[in-house]
Amino acid sequence: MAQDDSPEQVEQFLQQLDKFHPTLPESVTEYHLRKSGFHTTDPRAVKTVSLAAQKLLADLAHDALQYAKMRTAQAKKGSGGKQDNRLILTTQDLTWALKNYGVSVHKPEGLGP
Amino acid sequence: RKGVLRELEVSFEGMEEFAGDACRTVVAQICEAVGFHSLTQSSSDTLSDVLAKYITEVGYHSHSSAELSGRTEDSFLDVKLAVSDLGSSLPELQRFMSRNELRYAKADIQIPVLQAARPRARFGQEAGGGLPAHIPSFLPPFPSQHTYKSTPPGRASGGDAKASKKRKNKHNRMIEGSLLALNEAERRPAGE
Repeated sequence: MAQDDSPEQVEQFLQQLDKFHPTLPESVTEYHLRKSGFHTTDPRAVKTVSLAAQKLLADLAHDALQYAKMRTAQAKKGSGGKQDNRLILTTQDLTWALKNYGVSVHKPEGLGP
Repeated sequence: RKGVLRELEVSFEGMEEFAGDACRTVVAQICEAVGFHSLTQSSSDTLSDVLAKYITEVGYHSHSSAELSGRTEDSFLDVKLAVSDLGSSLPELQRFMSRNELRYAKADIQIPVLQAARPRARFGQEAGGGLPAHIPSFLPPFPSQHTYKSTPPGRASGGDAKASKKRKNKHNRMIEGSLLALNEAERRPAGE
């Protein structure tokens, strides 16, 4: 990722950041940041981290949703009658989505689905 | 309310549990917003772990870049660099914000109430008087006097050796008796 964001772009970003309220509480983000020695007096830095984390989660969930929809579409074609409209996030779909982000999830054998 | 942890005395004892619960709630909210009806327990746990580790990872990278520049305090630009290193960018975040401004407008989670620092007991307060000149005031308080001062043991009786001996023997007999009873109760099978 090139670091050629102009100061104007950064300003724009910060302005938009002021209007944004992360769902993740500030104290929780700070707690996890502290674990790696991170310390700041700038609340915008913490907000940016919360935002980035939320975005990551949203992307993962979105990708997993695509996988889940693909699977239910295939199942519908096969059975024809059964209509299971509930979309459930399973570890299977999530593992697929996480693979694209370089995160490997290993489930121990012998445990439930 | 500023996000500076140094000013307020924060107790981290219950924080791990609260952070876990908060992460789980945020994960559930985001999954619901994306369109899932429900999620499995293990998916929820996995996503909460990913969330926590990602935040810690961003913290590590931004702190490293701050340290490289010779600073101990991390700035917004360090975070910006870390976010870029870990696969995102400011424009991407900006797009995310503009798409989801209304959805995440309010945080539903209560932030834990942080207590103002309680003044710690200072040395000399217990004694109630001024401190001797050679002891600085920032030292933590000494343990109470009876832990290091020797005091003569109090006598229960007035010094009657016979009576105290009798009392001692009676006490020993009582202990023996209850131990015996306990032994017999163990040996006797339950329900008999």
